[in-house]
Amino acid sequence: MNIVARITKAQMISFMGAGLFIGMMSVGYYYNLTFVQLGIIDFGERILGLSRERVAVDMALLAMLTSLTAVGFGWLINRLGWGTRLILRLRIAFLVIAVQTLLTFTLHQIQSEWVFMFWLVLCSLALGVGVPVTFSLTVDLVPRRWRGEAAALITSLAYLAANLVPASWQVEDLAAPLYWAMPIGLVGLGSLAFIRWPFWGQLSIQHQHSDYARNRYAPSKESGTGSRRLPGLLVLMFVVFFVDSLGFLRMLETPRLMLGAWQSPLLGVRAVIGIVHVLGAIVAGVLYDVLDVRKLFYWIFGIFSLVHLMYTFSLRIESATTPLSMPVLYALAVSIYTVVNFALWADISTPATVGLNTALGVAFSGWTATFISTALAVWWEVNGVPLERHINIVDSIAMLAFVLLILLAARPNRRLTE
Amino acid sequence: MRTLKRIFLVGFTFLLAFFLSACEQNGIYSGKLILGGELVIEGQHSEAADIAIGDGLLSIEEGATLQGDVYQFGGEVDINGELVGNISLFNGSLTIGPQAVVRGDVLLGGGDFELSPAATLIGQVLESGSDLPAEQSRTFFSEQSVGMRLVQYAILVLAAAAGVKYFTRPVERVVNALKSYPAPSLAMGILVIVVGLSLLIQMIFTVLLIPFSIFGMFVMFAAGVLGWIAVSLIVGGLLAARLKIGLPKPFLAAGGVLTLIVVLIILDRFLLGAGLLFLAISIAGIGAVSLTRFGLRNFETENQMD
Repeated sequence: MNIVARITKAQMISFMGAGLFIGMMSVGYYYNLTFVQLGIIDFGERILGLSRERVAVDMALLAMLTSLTAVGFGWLINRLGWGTRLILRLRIAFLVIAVQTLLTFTLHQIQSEWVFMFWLVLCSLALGVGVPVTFSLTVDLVPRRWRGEAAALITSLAYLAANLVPASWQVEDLAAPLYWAMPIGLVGLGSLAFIRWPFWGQLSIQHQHSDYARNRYAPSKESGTGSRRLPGLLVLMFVVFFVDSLGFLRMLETPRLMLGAWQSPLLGVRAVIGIVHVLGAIVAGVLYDVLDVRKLFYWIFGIFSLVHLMYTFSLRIESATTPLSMPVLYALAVSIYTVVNFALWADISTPATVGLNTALGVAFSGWTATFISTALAVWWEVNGVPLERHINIVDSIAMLAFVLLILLAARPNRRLTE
Repeated sequence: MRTLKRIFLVGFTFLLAFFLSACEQNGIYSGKLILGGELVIEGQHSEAADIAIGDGLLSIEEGATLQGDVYQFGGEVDINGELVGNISLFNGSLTIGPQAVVRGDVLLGGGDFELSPAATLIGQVLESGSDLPAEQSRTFFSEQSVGMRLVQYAILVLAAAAGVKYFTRPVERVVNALKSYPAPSLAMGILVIVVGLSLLIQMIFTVLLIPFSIFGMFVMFAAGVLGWIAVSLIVGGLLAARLKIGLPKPFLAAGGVLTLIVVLIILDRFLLGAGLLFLAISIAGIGAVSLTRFGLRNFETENQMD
């Protein structure tokens, strides 16, 4: 009986740890999706009155600074061995969220571009520190066999909320739910991080167990070594973010494409997109556990190729409205790559390497791709590249990536595993 | 059935409009097709185009003008402005508001029609007799003679038995995938169907790729059949184990098909969910067939840690 009780208690603590991770990351990703990527743009353009190009440049600089900060801090985590110190990283996460909460509450006070730039710098630094710190918690709190499901839950919750909760994409509506969610989260995380609860004993040492900290893609290697697949996966994820960001940035400025989809005034339409995000995340989470991640990249690039082709076709025939099938497919691709992004970097790491790997994978690939795609999108728009051509190019990049992946897989006597 | 009918009619209308858009008889033909979302003609805006609406919303607001005919196969049409043309209502909801001015006829074939007494109609409201065939009953199995039904079932049973007999190894691989990895089979099936159907439909729009689309549909159908044969074998095997009967696999598959048919009939007639069960089995079957590459290889997890 005592043995059964102890096993059950240990499992409950594991569930709690995974739940903490899922809760934190869901709110954090929602914050990034809505407030950071949409709210700041709206604030700069509508409230401060800056030009679209100016705001785009500012956002690109935010992306680059975030990326550099993340890589630097990720290196520091590895260098100082913080990948094995759960409580320390939780406390750093607390500080990051405290800074982000303060920034969220003070944004509406800004009245000049220089203060806005300073605010963006602080936001970048907080994001840059936050990414490796929070993503590295995967090896402590989420056992390997649950990572697909955990990533699916995070993706589902964040995207469902992002589609259903904000009444509009104006910064006031995007920030409204954060005004209560972030302080509550801060208090909760603070009480967990600074009070020595009994369950921290188990959670602090979970990273020593092979269920948590073995590199899925190099299981025979001991801690402290990386995976030969990391560079290739970084490139793939960079291209995914680049394709998504480059296409979506231009679609954002086209009401015909947005009003019938993500910015639809009809709750039903946004609910459909949100539900597809959930379904796509569940599908990706289930398949992530049984398939090599390369197969999921086939689907990501394949779906992106198809959906951008559909958008190009719709633009060419000057369709009055765009069918819901297009944003639905787009949401499916986004959910799949988001699940991969949440699960992959911990699976290719050990506690000794997780800091830098997650920084490179999440921040460097993602934010650098955003930086370059934003700059490119602005340059194309200034130089009069039409929307159809823009989407056509994005489609070509996605198609090229898909074909190259297929060709690489078809090479004789070569395997993409270690 | 209603959805399929709507898709067919909208697709046919689109193809027709696409063809007509290439015509140059007395100028350029301009048409718009609404398959979802909203088209709102507002303010002092004047639009000149024929419009076919399959779903979504067409709204002509007060002060705005549409010059052209409207063909409504579904969705909602709200008119509070001016329409210079005819409206043909086949299905959906048509509302002509108090500020509306319609300079044409309203042909009613089906759907819901509401005409405000204060509206100005310079034309007639005609019962065109152009309504669509009466909607099929909402049962999963359409009304057919018993004899025809039995013939269909016999064909299904023979097909399952033949499939297991002549494609034993592929069917076994699909069965193993379904049994060992039911959730991944379902997940893969959802991906294949959603993305695959979108791709095949997109191919149709290109016209040139129609043969490939037809081939793709055939492949998807074949995957569905193989998946169903595998599920039938599983069901037949479970039944035989429960009844402690030893039978050759073709007979197990035949028994499995019959069992599934009976279950679907019962669900359809007395309960709900026949369509859902059919869909779930089809999705899982197609997913398992995809994972095993049409039964050409065993599916094993690629997770090195498992």
